[in-house]
Amino acid sequence: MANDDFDRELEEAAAQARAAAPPSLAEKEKVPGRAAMSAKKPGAVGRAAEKLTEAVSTLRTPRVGFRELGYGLGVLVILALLIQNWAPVRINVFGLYADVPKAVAFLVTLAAGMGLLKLWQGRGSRKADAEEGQE
Amino acid sequence: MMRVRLAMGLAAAVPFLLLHQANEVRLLTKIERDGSGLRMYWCQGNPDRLEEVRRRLREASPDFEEERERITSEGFVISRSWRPHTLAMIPDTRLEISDIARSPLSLYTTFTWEEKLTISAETATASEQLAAGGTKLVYILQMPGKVDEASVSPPATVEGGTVTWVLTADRGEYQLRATSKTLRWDLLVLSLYLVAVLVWKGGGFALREARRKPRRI
Repeated sequence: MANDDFDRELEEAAAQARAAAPPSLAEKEKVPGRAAMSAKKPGAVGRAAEKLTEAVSTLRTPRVGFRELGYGLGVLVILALLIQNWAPVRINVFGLYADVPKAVAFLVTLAAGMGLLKLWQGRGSRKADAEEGQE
Repeated sequence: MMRVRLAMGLAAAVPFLLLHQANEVRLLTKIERDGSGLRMYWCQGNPDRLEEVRRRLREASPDFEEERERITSEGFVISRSWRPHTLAMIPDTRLEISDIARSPLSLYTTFTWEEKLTISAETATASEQLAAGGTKLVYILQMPGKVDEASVSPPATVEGGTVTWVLTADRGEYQLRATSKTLRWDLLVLSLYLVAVLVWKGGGFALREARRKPRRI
């Protein structure tokens, strides 16, 4: 019991000391009933910066393993192949000639092939769906 | 057969009369890194000689693919070009590329171009041939990388990868030669990448092993 009385006395003394001390600058400026925040609403730039900061803070450094290093090597090899094969080739377009880089011609051919394959596959799957529907 | 015909067409000598009738004739040979290239004639002259120059130019480059023409009141410009997949197929020329297969330890790839160029004055009259000393052909050679000035023969203007010879028609034959070299940056970059990966991964492994070792307290 004696201890409890002693604690109470200590708390009262601390409260008296706080009341006697002059208020700090921050406490003077503090508006009662409001959280500490800017008086102005953030503008478009501010909101964008906030979003960017949030997005950046969620980023984590990727773990660089042998797989990622292999991807890096692959990218380097492809870039080197594209740049080293930038020598132009002449393409005959119905009697008109166009000089295009070999790498570009290769990529265009590849893209055309992929597009045709995709069209072909789509056509095949649509045909199969139609047959299933008839059955 | 087609290839031989093409090559013969490309190897046709430069007609003296073409040089004589046009105000300026340029012959461009551009060598790409892969041995392909561009061969192009460019002629400029007075409009009254257009038909004659065009005929001579077509004779000199029978199998060139593309022809472009621009005529103004002051004159005309005609160009004819051909882009072969390899310049080495042209007779009287030699293109040597010391690539990685030939010199695997070098940091550079070297290109050497040699050509025997003939200016043919067979059909020219004696009076026309008198002007041969003042009749010129500008031969421009564009090579990959930087041209070694010491290798250029006969002497010419060299700027980076471009050699410009001004050849007069009083000599019927010229032996042109130039060498250039380019850095093998692709192999260099790949090697550096692999070395960096090895150092990083090897260093990390060594550090982990060192930490795992029990220490005496």
